[in-house]
Amino acid sequence: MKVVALLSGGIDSPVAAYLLLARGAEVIPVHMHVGPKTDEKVRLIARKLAEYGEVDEPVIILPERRDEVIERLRGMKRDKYTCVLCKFNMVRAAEEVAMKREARAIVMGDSIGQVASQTLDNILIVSRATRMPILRPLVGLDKEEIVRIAKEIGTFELSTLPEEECWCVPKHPIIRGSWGEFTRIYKTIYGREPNGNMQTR
Amino acid sequence: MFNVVVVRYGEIGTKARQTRRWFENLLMNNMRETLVEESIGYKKIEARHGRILVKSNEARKAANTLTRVFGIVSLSPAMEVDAELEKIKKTAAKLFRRKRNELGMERPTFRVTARRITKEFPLKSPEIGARVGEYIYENEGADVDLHDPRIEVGIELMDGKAYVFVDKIRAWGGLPIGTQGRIVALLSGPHSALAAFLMMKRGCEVIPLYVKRSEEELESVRGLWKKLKRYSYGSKGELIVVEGGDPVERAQKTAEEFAAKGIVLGRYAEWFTDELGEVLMEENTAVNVPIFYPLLGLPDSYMEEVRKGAGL
Repeated sequence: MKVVALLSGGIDSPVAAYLLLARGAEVIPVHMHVGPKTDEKVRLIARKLAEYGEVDEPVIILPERRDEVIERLRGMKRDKYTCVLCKFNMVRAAEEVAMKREARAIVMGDSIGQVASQTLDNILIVSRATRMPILRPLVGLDKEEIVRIAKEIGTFELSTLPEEECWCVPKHPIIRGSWGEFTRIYKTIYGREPNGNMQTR
Repeated sequence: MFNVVVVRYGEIGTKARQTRRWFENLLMNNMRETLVEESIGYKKIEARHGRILVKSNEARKAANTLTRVFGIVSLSPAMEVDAELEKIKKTAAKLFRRKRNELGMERPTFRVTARRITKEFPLKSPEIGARVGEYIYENEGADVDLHDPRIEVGIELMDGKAYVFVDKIRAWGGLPIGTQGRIVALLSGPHSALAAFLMMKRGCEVIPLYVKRSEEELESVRGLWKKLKRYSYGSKGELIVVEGGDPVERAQKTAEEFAAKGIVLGRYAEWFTDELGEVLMEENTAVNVPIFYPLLGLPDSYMEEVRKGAGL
């Protein structure tokens, strides 16, 4: 089974990808570009992961009109939704890659409640970006359990290499995002429903 | 003998002050419910300096029971005494003797680890440790081993009191149930119970749903939920039983009724085959809340460890 794994360059997402590799999944890494150092990190991580199974070259996605979107969010005083919106778009991008390459699921490194964007409410919003299954093998684990695996498989030292910090991260990211509000924000920015082509949602 | 339980929690400690307060309150509430449901007496539960203190005459029993409350990292049944060096020494020696007898050892090695949580006590932590250690060495004839002792005497000082203990019981960690909202757990066999358990560990309130296939299975699901319930005091979940239909569709409906934000399934696979891919694609087409598969990808050894530890 082929899967698309979202790699951020952080500690968790490589562990999530590894757990699936260890059970025979074929992994296509997808990374949303932040800067050249982070891209390079993601390539190193992908190479490390390739020691454990079949891993393709990472697909680096360039964010669409990022500066403009952030400006509009700030203008609406809704920049606390930045990370949720960004993740939503990442899942969309991952879905597109998955369709093209005939992958059957998207893999993410979410562990509930670990950071602001990983509350059930926000995960719910992000999940609605696709009808594809999203696998989150770390969902039941604590941070220290994840770090332990990362060290065992040798991705920890790569994940902790320096990287460009994302300048879009707001001071107070939304903790309990609401789908209704997200929909309004999305429509204002993109002029269409967030799940336009998915009638059942 | 023990009159208090010192409870330590992990991830909560790192959150912003307001969130932390809220987490602590939920945690204390879940602890209270657990003690009440399990008929263990206590006098008071209070949050102090990043710890929770449970005053109880059944402190040891309380500590063992509270290991099932998520969000707690470790617990120590302790003796609370006034923070005076003489009292601390005597209490430490008493607990040391007791632990030595419990282990049935002649001359167990030991060390003393002291920590001032608040700093009003005149001696610094290492010095407290050294003085108390010296007292035990002289009076009990035991040898110090700073690196790998058989008995570790712990002393925590705060607000004019000292908490002396010789056991640190590991708990599950995770987050207090209720901090993350609800999800519907489709229960059937042991895997589904394990999946639900892991979501509970991360703070989700689980709504258990069984789509009935047979009387026998219903009985075993009731048994599973009974075990799970002991980890979820503080949430209201009663097993919901519905007759027939597509399980995921029923779960979706139940999620709508309870405003739940996800569905958890116990799906397990040794290998990620193409067939599994098709099943997952199919399963996800008709839902509008995320489906969580906490077991997909987890190492078998980890699952087995959790299953055993949780008694599932």
